[in-house]
Amino acid sequence: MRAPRSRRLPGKGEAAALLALLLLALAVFFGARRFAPAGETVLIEQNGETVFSARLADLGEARVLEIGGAAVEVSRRGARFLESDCPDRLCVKAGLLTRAGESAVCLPNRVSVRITGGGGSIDAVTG
Amino acid sequence: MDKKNAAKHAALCGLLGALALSLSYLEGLLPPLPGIPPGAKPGLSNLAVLAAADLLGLPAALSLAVLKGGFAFLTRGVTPGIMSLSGGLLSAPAMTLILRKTKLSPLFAGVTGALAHNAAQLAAARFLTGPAAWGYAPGMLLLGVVSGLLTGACFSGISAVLEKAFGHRTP
Amino acid sequence: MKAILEKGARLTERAWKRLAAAGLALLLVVVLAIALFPLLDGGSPAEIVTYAMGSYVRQTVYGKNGEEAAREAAGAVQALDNEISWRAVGGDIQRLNEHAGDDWIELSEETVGLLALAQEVCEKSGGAFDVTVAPLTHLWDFDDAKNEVPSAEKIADRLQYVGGKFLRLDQNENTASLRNTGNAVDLGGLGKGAACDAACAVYETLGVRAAVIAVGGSIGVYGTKPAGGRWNIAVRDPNSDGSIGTLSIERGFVSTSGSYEKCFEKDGVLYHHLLDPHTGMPARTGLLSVTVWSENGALSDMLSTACFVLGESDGAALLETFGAEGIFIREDGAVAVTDGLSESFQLTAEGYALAPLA
Repeated sequence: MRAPRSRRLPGKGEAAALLALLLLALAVFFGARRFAPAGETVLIEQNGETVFSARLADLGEARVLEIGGAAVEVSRRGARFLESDCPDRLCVKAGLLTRAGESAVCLPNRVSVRITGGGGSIDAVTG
Repeated sequence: MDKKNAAKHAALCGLLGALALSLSYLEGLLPPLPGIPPGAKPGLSNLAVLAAADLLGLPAALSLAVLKGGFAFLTRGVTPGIMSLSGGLLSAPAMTLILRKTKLSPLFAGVTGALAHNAAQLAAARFLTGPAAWGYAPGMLLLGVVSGLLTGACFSGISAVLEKAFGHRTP
Repeated sequence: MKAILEKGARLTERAWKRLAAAGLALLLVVVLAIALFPLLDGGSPAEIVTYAMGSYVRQTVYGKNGEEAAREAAGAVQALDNEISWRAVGGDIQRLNEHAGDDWIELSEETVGLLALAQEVCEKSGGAFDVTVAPLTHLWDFDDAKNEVPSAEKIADRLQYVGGKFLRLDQNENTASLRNTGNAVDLGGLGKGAACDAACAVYETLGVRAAVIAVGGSIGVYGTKPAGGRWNIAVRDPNSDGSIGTLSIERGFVSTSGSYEKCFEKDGVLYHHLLDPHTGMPARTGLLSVTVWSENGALSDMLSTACFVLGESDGAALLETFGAEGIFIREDGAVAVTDGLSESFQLTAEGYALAPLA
């Protein structure tokens, strides 16, 4: 009689596939961080609408923006959720975002803060 | 199904439901892991769904997913509720399929389920907030593989006990 | 349990392998879905930079035929430049100027359309924007590096050739004439905006998904940004190389006229290229720059110049008659925004403060 499926052990091929997947996930995860360039712009969205975007270089000392029930601090160094009225405050725990691709989302307030590289959030400049 | 089996079935459903909810609750107590999206959970409560998929079948697994979603909705709010529900509704069929229709091990089923769960959550987060949610994709991928292996292994461990106690499967 | 195991035992080895392969395939699909999700949000756009209208032309075009559309649009912008630049030999405007005081000249429908729109803005702005200002702009010649202030006599002499009444149009025949020798037109105040119009017309014809074009400081956006959300246009800070804030728009065109663009300083006085057609001197209305949004690119370009020359309150009134919106940056650091942009403009630079319109 065959072993019940719950106690089936992975075959050689399957084990190799799982291991490869794990390595791939590790590579993607650390690769994405390692190679992420320094951020250039900060973009804050609420309900999918852009409510604030600026080049980090244009920002001076830290300023605090009130967006929904959250307070977001933006400065030349980056951006972070300073305070939020949501229950778990996970967005605040995400800390300071500085590198391109880093983001923090406050789901209860539907606010997301994102750092992008290479003018990603600015489409054009007038003037 | 005779009366005795029906009773066992009900007891098992209740047990797995309780397991799902208590694991959900315990996960909620974990601090956010560095480098992993805040709000993302290791998905240990998927363990109960995995067991249900194996021992009871797809309808029970889906019911558990809905139960988990409802629990998240009541205890954490609308958005986590939507996230949990969308994840569960995709992962339950995925795990059932792997476990019941292939020769692959529970480890593989756990990983598939966790990745499906995270993919659905990512899509829900994208829909609810904006493209910023994509930044979490690498973290969600790693988290999915690790927690899937973990739940798969846990399930292999506890299944012997469950089978001894309840000793039945729904084909 | 027995039933399923028996059923399982009945399956052949080959069937098991097939199922395992299916499982593996399912897992692969899920992994790929996670990895490829971000790509669904756009893919990489075609980006090309060319040179026309005395300025760079930067295009970002999204969609399968982005590359082709960008090249086509660059060609359309160059073709327009060849007609409406007063320097382009054989072009519409060069021929019109050459035959000033002489005869009616046949022009392309596009050029006549632009001249007609310019005449409308000229009338409604009380002559604050006037394409016949060419004799004066050629006298000042902000493009050369001489940086000299022309004498009052020379300015007064050229002023007599400036006025909307000297340009006559026949839109039925697509002809135009300049009444006197010495009259000339310069479409520099609308060329960049018109180039954005021309590019967006190409995007529409070729059915691209979305695109943004910048001709110098004039911007046109087309379609819906693949990543979702509005187009974010940074507005340049007149006092630095950075931006003063961001304008988020869904569609339309944006142009800016600022005293910092083409200018020189002499004896502590700033002389810039935004000439008041009534005085022949750089307009001084307490403004550093005006940014105008409009449904039409050429219009946004003309209105930004007109608003700078008119000043804030008359400028805002002019914008209203054209259904346009604007951002006025004053010399004292106050920034006034028309009602239609109050939600979509975000001031981010320090040293500026939002103020109600004058």
